[in-house]
Amino acid sequence: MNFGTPLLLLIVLFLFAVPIQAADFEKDIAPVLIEHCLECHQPNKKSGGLDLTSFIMMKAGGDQGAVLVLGNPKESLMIQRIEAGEMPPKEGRGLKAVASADLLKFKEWISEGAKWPANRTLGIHERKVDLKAAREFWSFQKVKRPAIPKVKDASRVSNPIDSFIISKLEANNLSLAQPASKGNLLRRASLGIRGLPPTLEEQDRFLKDQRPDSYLSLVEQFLGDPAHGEKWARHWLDLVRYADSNGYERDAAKPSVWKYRDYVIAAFNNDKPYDRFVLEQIAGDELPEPSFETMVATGFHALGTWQDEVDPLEAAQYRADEVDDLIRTTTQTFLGLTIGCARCHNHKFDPLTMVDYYSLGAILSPLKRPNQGRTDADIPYGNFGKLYRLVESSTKPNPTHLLLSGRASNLGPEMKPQVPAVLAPQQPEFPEKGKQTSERRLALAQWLIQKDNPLVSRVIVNRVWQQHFGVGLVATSSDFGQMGARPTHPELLDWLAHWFVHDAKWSLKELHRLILLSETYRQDSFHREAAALVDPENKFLWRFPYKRLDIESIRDSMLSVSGNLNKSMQGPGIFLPVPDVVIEAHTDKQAAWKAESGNVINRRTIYAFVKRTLTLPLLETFDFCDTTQSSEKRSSTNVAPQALTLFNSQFVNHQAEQLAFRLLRDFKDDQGMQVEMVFKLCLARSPTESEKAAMLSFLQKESKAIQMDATKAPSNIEHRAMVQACRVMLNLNEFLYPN
Amino acid sequence: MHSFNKSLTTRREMLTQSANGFGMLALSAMLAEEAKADVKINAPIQDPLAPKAPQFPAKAKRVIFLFMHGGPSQVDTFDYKPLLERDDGKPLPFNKPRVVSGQTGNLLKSPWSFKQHGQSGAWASELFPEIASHSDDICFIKSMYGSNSRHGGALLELHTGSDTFVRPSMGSWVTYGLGTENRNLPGFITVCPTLSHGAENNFSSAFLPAIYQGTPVGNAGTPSDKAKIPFITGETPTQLQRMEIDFFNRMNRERLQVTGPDNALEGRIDSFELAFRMQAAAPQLQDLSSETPATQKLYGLDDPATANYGRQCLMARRFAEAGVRFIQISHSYKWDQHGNLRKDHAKNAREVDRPIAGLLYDLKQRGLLEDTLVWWGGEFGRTPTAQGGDGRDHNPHGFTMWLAGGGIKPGISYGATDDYGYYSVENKVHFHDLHATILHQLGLDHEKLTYKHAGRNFRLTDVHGRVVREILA
Repeated sequence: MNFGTPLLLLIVLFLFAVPIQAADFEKDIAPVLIEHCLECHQPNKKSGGLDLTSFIMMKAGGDQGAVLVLGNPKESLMIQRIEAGEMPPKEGRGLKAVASADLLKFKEWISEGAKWPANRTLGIHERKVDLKAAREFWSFQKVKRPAIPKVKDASRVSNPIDSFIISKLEANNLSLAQPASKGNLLRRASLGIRGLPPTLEEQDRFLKDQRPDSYLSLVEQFLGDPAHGEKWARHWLDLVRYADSNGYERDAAKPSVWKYRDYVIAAFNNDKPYDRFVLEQIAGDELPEPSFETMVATGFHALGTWQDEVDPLEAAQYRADEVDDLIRTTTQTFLGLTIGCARCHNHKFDPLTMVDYYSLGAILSPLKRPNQGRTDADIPYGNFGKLYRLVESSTKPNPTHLLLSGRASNLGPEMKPQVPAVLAPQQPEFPEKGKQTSERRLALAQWLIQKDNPLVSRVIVNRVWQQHFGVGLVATSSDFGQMGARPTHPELLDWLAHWFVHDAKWSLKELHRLILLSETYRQDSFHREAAALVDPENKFLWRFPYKRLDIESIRDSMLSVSGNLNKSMQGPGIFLPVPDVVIEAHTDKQAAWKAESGNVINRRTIYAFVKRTLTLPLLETFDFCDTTQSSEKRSSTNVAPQALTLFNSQFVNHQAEQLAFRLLRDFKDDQGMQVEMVFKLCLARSPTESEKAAMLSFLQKESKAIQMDATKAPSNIEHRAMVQACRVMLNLNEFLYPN
Repeated sequence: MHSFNKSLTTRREMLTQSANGFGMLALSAMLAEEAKADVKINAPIQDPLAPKAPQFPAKAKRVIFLFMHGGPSQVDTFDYKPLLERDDGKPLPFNKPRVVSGQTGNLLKSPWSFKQHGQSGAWASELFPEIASHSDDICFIKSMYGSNSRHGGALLELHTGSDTFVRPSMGSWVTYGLGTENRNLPGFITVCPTLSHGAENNFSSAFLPAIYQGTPVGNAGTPSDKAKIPFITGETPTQLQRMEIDFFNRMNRERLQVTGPDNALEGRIDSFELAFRMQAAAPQLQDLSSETPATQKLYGLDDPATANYGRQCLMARRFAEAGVRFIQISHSYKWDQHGNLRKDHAKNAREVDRPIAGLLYDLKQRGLLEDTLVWWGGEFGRTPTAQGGDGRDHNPHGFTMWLAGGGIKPGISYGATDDYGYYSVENKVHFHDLHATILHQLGLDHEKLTYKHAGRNFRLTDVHGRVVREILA
């Protein structure tokens, strides 16, 4: 170190000799620099040419020359600027002025010769978050079970959900709507739990069933139907960015990935407790007794996009991107936090730091893809067959470093495995005693499913609520942070979360049951002017909301009413037929898509092969999710291309033809009955007199017009007219927006 | 009409047989009108897309927005800064903004040389030789600024006026205010829109009736020659389909009387009417083969580098000609040069320069430029300071957009950034001001174009916006 003058050196040596007076660098100095200066004066930014992260750079000064005169704080420019109130700048950034006590220490430190420990470099990631204050935020607080509120009109309370909903409605001079008709409720519950409409037999049975618990047994029946898992697994697949291919240029298929999809379906059907479900996906390979099933579950980590050809110069950065995908997906899905924002700097709004982010990186980054060159690979598991997952191959993983500014080339300090500090007053133990792997993920998963984790239970009950009611109690279901929405019914959310863990023992079917049996769910969906004026967005649920079926339910419903639905379960993804123009537009025409045919294309939509670079137009037009990242909610648009799809696509036309065929076959020569039945099949209700008359007259007019069509032989007129009518039925608002 | 009834043909056949496309359009419109007269429903069907008179005489009837997604650099295109050239490599002599999207270093001069063009003497870099040759038709706004330095937020702010809430897109507001001149087409079409950074929220109608939502043609991942509306043609003969839709309408409307009004449900009914009419109109408009070789060349269809955006530009002219109110054509997420500025900005500019110049020329020669407002720009500009050795960061604090036609003063530059092109400093124009100005040219007062939702009146410009009268012809 060259301190300039021998005299100064003497002073410094003298001061060093009196250690009692020395300001403590780590305690008194580093925090001041980090909190007040480093935002701008760091190597990536160097405002005014000044970098204050190391002694050498501090000593070097900036554009205005030296900022530090050793032994003389008064002459030091940095002290002058601070004392003049110029630094840190007042506006923007939210940097607080240096407290006078801190400044005193700082001056003392300079007087004493500015002793800076050797090799110590400061970083912006060391900026502290006031965790105590941050933990006051609603979603970071422990879930407590609030008291169930009293309501004025208790006649409509069938379980605590209703008490919370009605009490809020009453506070706003609103009330629940009338109970929905039996037919409407039947169709709603059937679509809501199974994604399929009720069959004619189910309708018959339920409408005739006069027992007081007829609805309860209906709900039980639906929850026991394997179709339940197929409907609800799709919502989970959106969250975990599931697809059957890797994306990017080659977009090759992910081998055996469909076993993960089948795992999720089975998990929901078997009502695997949610805590176990979380555990198996995050650390299924690290469990004391792993099985084929838990290994498949761990495929969760492998579902993201994968670039099979990376420029070697970019490899490190690409690897950082892959780990980023793991961190984001895991935290958004289970915690509802956007911790991905803390990759390059501390989160701007939430108390999540770069250290939090890279500590999670230390947990997840030991996972590697077992690819062979550009070929993605599945791996054998005993005699059970192959499965698709990332693997961790050592008990002592390579160190994980914080990446300054998020750049792989810019290694910061080494990171220990840790969970986000704001959520853990006490860090869980990462024992590092694994047999095959580090078992860091096991520790993470066990921490997540502890009963007092404030987010995991809130987030999952909210997701289930969102699927049933269209909007979650927290509208931003993957962002429970500062920028996310606040709960419309905070007490209900907490009650549900607490009940879910302690009473329902993490059973999702219990949660569905509770929701479906509430009067809130069972009310009708009709408009009421007075209520709409008070609450136009129906935030308080004064009616059951209209919401468009997702595309899977639309397609599956059509297959179901046409009688075509192939209910076989499991197995590799199906390549559904696509219009030629779509293949044409694809870069890789030959290999892109080999459409299948026969009855296999009538399977439920969840079994359709999801190719990242070639989304089926039917799915794309109807707001299928982005498969490259965790998607918490589908959008619901109403554009003309959807109408075109419903009217002109081969798929819909084919279902209309089949439905017409079915009606003409089963109710031969009885047009009245055909009309009755097409309404029951499509809408689970009988037509009104007026609707019936309208359809009969339509069939008549249509037949006449077809007869006059000189371009085609006037054969099969009855069938052709009925096809037109069926297509209209499959397109009705009520078909897509159940009551 | 009677004779037509006797020989029903499929739409596809009719279109191929028809020598005169627009005659067919008229025919299908007439069919539609006639069929409507047949509907026996109490409520008259009101076409929410029917053209409406502007609030005051308009200079422009429609907008073509050439969206440069990613954020083209102002200091490398139209905002010439001699001091930036002089002080290359030195630190920015004033503070950078408090909130930036990433860190930048010292000043980086433009790798491209600038010169003045036309009678107006407008500065432009060698990146845009063709557009520069139209400088005398263009009004450069060099003092644009926005409030969000991230793509997602900036895109939403540019398209909807709000970077935090889901609000109706500008195209939706315009269509809501004016309807469409061609009722066989949506009033708002967006060609190859981005799937990221807010995606459909950038062309959504939010709380406006759903029929005002932008109709996407393809998306950012589709080459423009494949950008079609899926299932635009079907097998059902038109007349039969008309009957189907009437039946569909009747059933849906009857049901609405039971369930009560609902925006989404009513929007769906409208979307079917529109879809029916689009089937005849859209494929024809997208078929560029009827354009002369000279025109195709004008737009750069003869060159693989320019053909993709060229087709979009040509499609835009055809949509404009057919009376679509708001047309957006996106040069998808390409302009985000944090690195590789030299190579990639040059490539991007090359892809769009000739097509855009062709569009300006073609609109002008057809007399369409007078009442078509052409609007060019990205969601923000870029920093004059360097990222790495060859890149620039996002900069919402000062950047350039340009307007042409539609009653905007041609051949001028308005506003200015500082000496280095970082901050907008003189005659600053915010997105809200630009929105207000564009609405004004369309004959809409941005303070009076409102929609009541959730108990209050909303507008595109919220409580902001100033019509920039200085740039009006």
